Amino acid sequence: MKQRFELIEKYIDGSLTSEESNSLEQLITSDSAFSKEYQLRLEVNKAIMEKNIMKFRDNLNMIYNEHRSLPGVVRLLFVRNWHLVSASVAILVIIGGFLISRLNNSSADRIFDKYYSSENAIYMTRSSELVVDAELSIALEKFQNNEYGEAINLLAMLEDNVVAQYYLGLSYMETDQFTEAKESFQFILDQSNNLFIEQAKWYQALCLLKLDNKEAATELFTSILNDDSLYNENATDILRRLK
Amino acid sequence: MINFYSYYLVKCGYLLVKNRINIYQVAKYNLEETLEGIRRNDLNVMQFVYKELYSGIQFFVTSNSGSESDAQDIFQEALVIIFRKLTDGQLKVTCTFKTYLYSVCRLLWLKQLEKRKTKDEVSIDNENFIELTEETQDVIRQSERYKLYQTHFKKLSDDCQKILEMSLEKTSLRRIAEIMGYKCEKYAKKRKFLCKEKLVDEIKKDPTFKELAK
Repeated sequence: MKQRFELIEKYIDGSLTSEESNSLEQLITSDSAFSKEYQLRLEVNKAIMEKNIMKFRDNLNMIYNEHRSLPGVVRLLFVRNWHLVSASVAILVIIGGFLISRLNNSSADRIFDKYYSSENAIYMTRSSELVVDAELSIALEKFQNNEYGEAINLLAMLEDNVVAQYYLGLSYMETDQFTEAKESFQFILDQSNNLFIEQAKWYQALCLLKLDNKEAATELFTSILNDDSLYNENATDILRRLK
Repeated sequence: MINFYSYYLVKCGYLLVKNRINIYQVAKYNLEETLEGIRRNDLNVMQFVYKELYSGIQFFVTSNSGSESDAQDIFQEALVIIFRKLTDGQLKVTCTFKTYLYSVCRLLWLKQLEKRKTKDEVSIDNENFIELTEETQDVIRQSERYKLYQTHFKKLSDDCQKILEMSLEKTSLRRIAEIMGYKCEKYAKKRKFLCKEKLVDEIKKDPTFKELAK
């Protein structure tokens, strides 16, 4: 049996003489078991060479494992969108609370300094570990490490990505490039149906404040009030101080 | 307590960011973009497809005598079949991607039920579906066999996998011997044959192989 297998393998490799090949071909047509063996070995070779399929399966497994690795409670929380919104509210309330506690002065710069804060570090660290997109992940790591220049270079390339544009805006703010930051937040505001709208509006209003465009800032803070945003309380306070 | 909340907020933050990316892109992707994303093995697109459509398939399979693990297998296999058809330039989708994927999953699950001799029909259909062509059914059969072969190939030792890959890429035995650190070509040739025999043997011993041969 081993000899037969060896013969088939040699035939597949093309290392038989033409005479040997001819007799083997006859065997393949006349002996169904031999033919099946030959077909199996051919198919196995083809399967081994399907690197794209194997990679595809690996990716699917990775996505599934990532999905499964989320704690049951968290998965349950996010089954419906309103839970997702609730969670975002929790985060924003904490950030908002932190910002409120820092409120004191009324000049535009001082208001900005009191109210501006980028995302908290823990949130970023864990997030970047799990974001699949490698470029975004690297960029977010740079942001987290306060390497804003490099973060800007990387994030600016992801021009259609809402998350990238959001952190690009924050990176610009961290490096006092408020005009550019305003543009990044504008991109987010131009997209409908994304979770960063409220934050983008808030940070854009702070940029306008920093750019000394009090009129536009007032307009945006007023719009935040009208949106019934989570930043309502802060916006009310700022508007009162801007008068 | 603080740590507990921090942990979940981190997880929430992750999901918020990630889900919003997904929702944003799902809203953006049309049928062609979805298919092109799968063809390119684009992780983002595959993740969207997974997140958007897996729960429906899971519901279908678990409502028709299957487990969550069955649902996962069926979902993955359906995507592999779509990927195969896309890379072969065979795929023509005239319905929504959701309907097409559901139809492939439905057919795969029916075949599975038939094999298990449980039943040959589903009692709950939670989506629209289309009848798939005989060509697609051929791809399904081929994909089942190849999955078995590839599973056993991946179980081989690293050097066996490498030798087989190199020989199929037409690397000379001399070069294989050099790369693998073997003394001579003859030994490389012997190792190649033994690796292939080990692989074929393991495949033949797998009960799935006999099932597929029926």
